[in-house]
Amino acid sequence: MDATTEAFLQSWEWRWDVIFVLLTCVSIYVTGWVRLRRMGAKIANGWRLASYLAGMGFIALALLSGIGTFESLLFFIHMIQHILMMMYAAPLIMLAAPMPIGMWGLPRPIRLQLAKFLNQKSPLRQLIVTITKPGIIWMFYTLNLWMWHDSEMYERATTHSTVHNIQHLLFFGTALAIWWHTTDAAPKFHKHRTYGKRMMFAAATYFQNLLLGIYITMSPELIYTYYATVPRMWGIEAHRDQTIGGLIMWIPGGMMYGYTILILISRLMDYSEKQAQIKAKKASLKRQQTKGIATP
Amino acid sequence: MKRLGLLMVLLGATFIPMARTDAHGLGNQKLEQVEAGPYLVSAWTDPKDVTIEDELHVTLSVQDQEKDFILEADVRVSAVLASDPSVTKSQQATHDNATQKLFYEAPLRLDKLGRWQITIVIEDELGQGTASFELDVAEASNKWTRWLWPVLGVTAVVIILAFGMYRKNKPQGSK
Repeated sequence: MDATTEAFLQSWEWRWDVIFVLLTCVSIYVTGWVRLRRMGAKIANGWRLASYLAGMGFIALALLSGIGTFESLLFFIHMIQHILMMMYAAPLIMLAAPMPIGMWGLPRPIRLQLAKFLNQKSPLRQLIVTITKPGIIWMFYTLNLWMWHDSEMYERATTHSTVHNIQHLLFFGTALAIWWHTTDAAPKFHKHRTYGKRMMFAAATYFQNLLLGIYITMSPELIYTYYATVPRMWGIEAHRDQTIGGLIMWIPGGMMYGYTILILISRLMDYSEKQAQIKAKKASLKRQQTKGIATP
Repeated sequence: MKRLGLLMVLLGATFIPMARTDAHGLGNQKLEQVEAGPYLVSAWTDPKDVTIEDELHVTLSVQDQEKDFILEADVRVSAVLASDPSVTKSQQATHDNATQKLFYEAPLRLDKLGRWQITIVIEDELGQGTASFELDVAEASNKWTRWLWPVLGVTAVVIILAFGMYRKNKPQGSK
C-alpha cells in the first residue's frame, strides 16, 4: 500500500459532536426497538434494526473516517461523502421506520406529548403535511442540491466550518424527506402513495441528479477552483478530480434511484398479480354461488 | 419532567459544536506549494483570525518536486515577534497532531499582540528547506461573539423548559 493511501486510512477524526448525536439517536432507536420487540410488535424486526445501524454506520464513515478528513483535499472524496449520507444512510434509516420505533425509545411523558403534537388534527401535523408534500420536497431538494454545487457556495462551505455543517444538515434533511416519500416509510401523514406515484417521484429525483452529474462531469472548465490551491493526492489533478466527482454523482448516485425504481416495479407487478388472483377468486366464488342458486 | 429537562439539555448541547471556528477544513491558506529548497510547502493556519487567547494550529504539507508527499521529514515551526525578536516560540510539527495524516501540524500559542514571522524548517534526505510567512495576532475577540451559539442553544432550552413547566402547572380551566 502506498504511503498516501495509508495516511488516508489512518486519518480518522473522532468528532465528539458527531459521535454524541449518533449515539443519542442509536440509543433512542434501540431502546424503542427492544420495547416493541418485548411487546411482540411486528415492526421491530431484525432487518429494520440492521438497516438503522447500517445507516448510522454510513454517517459515521462519511463524517469521521478519511472520507470526512480528506474532503477538503479532493472533490471526488467530498462527493463520496455526500453520496454516502444522502443515497445510502438516508434510505436505510427511513426503511428502519425511525419515527414509530424511535418514539417508543423516548420517556413516556415525552412520547405522549409528541403523540399529542402529532395527532391527526394538530396544527403541527397539518403544517408538516403541507410543507412536505412530494412536489414541495422535490423542489426544495433540487434547489438545495443545485445551490450548493454553485462554485461560490461550494467554496464557502469548504472553507467555513459552520456553513459546511449547515450544508450537510440540509443535504441530509432533504434526502430523508425524499426517501420518506420514496420508501413510503411511517409516519404516513400524506395520502396513500401508490407504487406508480413513488416511481415517478424517484424518476424525477433521479433526472435532476443525472443532469447535475452530467454537467459537472462534462464541464470543460474547473468549476471548483478551491481544489487547485490544495496539494493533490495520488497525482490526481483538480480537473480530473472534478470529472471523477461528477461521474460518482452521475452513476453510483443515480444507481440508488434506479434500484429503487426496479424494486418498485417488481412490487407493483406482485401487487397487480395479487389483485388479479383476488379478482379471479372472487369471480369463481360468484360463479359457484350463481351455480348454487341455479341448482338447489 | 427531569428526564425531559435532561433530554432538552442534551439536545441543546448539539449547538455547541457550531461555535467552533473550523473543524474539518484546513484553515487559512498561507503558503500554496511554494519552493522551500528541494521541497514544495503549503501552509494553513487555524483559527483564521488569531487572537492572543487562541491556540494556533499550523498545518503543513511537504512534497518533493514531483509532488509526492514527504512523510518522514523533520519539520519545525518557529514564530518570532516582529517588533521584539527576542520573543520566540518553537514547536515540532508532527503527523500525530494533524487530522489528515499526510500533513504535519504544530500547535503554537502566540500570546503577544502584533505581527509574527512564522518560519518552517524542513530536513530530510533531500536536504534542508525553509519557508516563511507573516501572521497578525489580534486582541482577544469579544467573548459574546465566541459564545454566541452555545448561549443561543442554552436560551432555547431554557425557553422550552419554561414553556413546558408553564403548561404543566397551568391552572385547570384556564385558556
